[in-house]
Amino acid sequence: MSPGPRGATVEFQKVTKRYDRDVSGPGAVNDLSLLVPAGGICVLVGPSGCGKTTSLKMVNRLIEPTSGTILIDGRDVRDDDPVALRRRIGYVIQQVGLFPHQTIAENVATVPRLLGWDCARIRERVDELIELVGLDPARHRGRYPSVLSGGERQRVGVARALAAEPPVMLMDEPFGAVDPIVRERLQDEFLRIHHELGTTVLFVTHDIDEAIKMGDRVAVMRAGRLVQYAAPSELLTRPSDDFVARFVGADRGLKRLSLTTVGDVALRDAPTAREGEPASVARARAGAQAYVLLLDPERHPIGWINLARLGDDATLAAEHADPSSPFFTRRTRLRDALSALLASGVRTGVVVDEEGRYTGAFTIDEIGQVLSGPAPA
Amino acid sequence: MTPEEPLIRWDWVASHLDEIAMRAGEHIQLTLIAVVVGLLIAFALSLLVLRVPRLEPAATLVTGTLYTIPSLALFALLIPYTGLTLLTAEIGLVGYTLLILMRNIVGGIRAVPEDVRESALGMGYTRSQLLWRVELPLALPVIVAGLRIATITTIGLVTVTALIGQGGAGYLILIGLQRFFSTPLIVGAALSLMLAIAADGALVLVQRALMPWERSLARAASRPGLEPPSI
Repeated sequence: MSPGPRGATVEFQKVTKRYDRDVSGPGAVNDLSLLVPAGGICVLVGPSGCGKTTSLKMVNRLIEPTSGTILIDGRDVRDDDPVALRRRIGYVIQQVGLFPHQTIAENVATVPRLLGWDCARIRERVDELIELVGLDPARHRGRYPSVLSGGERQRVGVARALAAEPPVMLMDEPFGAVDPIVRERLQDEFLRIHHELGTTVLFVTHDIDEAIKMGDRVAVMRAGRLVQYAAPSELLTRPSDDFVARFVGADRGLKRLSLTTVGDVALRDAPTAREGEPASVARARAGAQAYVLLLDPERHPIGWINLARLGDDATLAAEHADPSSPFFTRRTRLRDALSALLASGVRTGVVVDEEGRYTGAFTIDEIGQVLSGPAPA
Repeated sequence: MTPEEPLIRWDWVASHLDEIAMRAGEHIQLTLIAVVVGLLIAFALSLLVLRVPRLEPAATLVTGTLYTIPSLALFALLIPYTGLTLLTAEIGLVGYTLLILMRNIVGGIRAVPEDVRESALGMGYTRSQLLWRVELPLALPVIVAGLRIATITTIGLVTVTALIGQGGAGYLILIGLQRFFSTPLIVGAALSLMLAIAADGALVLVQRALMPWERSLARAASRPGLEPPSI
């Protein structure tokens, strides 16, 4: 697909929203100043009632601020008619809000139709988007939302919001209503799509794990005020006060594992062996270690072999290898790697390259060293 | 009516087919005018009530009162002003449709899910685009349900308008009553009944044609679990 326009900057300048006339009391949002760089994902996170959704809705003027200014690419959102403004801003909400009386294609075509694109261009764009969010245009185009699963609806919601290539996208708990497995997949896919499009995203959630995963920068809010605005790793290593520390959780050290990948660990060499080699040769190579990693002729790992179980005259074969040995790529997040290692009972993780060939190994101890080191960049 | 007289004399029916057809035509015309005008007025009232909710009790009171006045009494009240005319008949008939239609239009639009409304506004629908493209289509099942009740009620009521000289099946019933002759009475009643059934069936067909998504909803509901839980 053609590269969309790069995202726009979004800036809050001393934005306040009050619902009551009482000027002395705190408002729903108080004096919020925040700069979201172009193409970034800024996550607004905080307990319910902290003003994150109100802040989001002031960007597309579903809510008007009491005072202060919001700028998109330096231009005051109040300079435009709200309807025209909203057509340039993608909007995804938790319940998705798909139009039940329209097919998936019609739903996705909403904003292009409002903007008066010609039919051929709309049709082409709709198929492109349905595919982008991982659905099959031929299968889903003509269906109605009622027959979709929750995850499929969210995908269509994202496609609909992206339809007119908006420079800014607002997402209000977009993955809040789906089960954790689906949510994780939708998050990963959205990050991939975002990487491709470079849209500026403001993302509201109450889930700190989601904030840390999705955000380039995370704005923690409490009672209508911005408490800390920082990169996720900084939030975890240097929470600005007790509230943020409590909010990110006592397990914030572990959460840093979500931000680091296997590629951040210094890899070591594990003893390896080939199919058909005598056990005695492998044992000599392994030295003090009880396990060798069995590789096939293309150096794809098959699994660990416990040499203590084999006699000296045995020949190494695939059936000796432990089939539960976990393999990772450099892009695997350390949290997932640690979890897989703990589940399999193996203490050494095998790292493979894009083609699945063995490149090195690391142990649980090395994950511990990454955690005790400085914050990742 | 004498005991040896059969309930229906088919020879009378056969010799009066032209008249029966004419009365059916009148009946349909009276009903159509009443329902269409009623729908337009109820629609305008509904928009007003939706925009200014504090007018709702007054609107309900007026349409509710019209609904409860006995039709004969209403005609008697109107005749000094509008005479034995089509207008008199239609004022009464339209009045009876308003309560049902307004309640269903207002209720149907209010039942549109808030998230659908919010996402429509958030994507840049204007208020009127929201109404015509989202709220009304989604309220259609409830509105059509109201339309069906209003239409059937009106078809029944039209039999009364014969009393003020506005024909329809009521005219046949009237002849039957005046002449103690059961055949036209039964033909008139059956005609009204058949028209009601036919109109209701036609509206169901219209509803299906206008709302393809409801069909797919029903299909999905009728075979739970068949849709693969892919994401």
